Amino acid sequence: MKYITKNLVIHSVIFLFASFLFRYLISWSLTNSHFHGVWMVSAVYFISLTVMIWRFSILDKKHLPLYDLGFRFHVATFFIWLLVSHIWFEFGSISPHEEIIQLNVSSVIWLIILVIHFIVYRLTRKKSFKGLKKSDIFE
Amino acid sequence: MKHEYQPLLEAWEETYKKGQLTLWIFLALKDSEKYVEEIKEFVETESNNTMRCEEQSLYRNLRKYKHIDVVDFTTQKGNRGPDRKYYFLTEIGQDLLENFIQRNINLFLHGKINELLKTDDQA
Repeated sequence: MKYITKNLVIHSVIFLFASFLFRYLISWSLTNSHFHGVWMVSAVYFISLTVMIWRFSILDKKHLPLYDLGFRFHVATFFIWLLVSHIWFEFGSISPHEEIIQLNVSSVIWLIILVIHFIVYRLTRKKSFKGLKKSDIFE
Repeated sequence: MKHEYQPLLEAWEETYKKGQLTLWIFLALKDSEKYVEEIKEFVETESNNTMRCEEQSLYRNLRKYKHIDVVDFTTQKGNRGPDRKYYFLTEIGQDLLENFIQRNINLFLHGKINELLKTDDQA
């Protein structure tokens, strides 16, 4: 549980709500054929997500400099996005333009990136002790 | 009286002090558990104020030491206000400090090095 930090939880909760809002706006834009809106919403969502991860990971590092190359935030973000997307496809009001195959393809691509991130994270673990970079432990 | 080499002395001391905070914190906790203000006071007093530390810096370090299980804390009632965290060295922390002292500090206390360290007024 040491790795589930307050900042990670706050990030996850905000991201959860933001993802539902994103899904709603995408479906609404597609249903009403506001295709420019889709790009705009996606861009705002992506930029907000990047800023949020950057901000919360900095706060997290200030509290405890866990050396994981942002992997915890990446994992949390991926699974929340996956969960929200599947809930939305199952119970939300998706547009006729949305198909589950698009979601599955995106999930597989993101999963591959996540696996690469995990491999890099594992390779750098020898520089750390109990999740902290050895050179950062003592001052 | 300030010597002309004062800037050099300060620069050397600045470099020398880097990495010493851990030792001072561990020394503060060696004999008894302490809360952060007490650790700060110990470090500054016992180092003749050559080591200065902010409480925030102490908290950040203590969180790291707790994470790697060399320090732990108990929560106790303070005289006033909220409960205080009293930090102490765990068994691993005690062993780590002991080993560090043996390998890095004790060599200054014996033999030729000890002789060389004596200043003019001690000779």
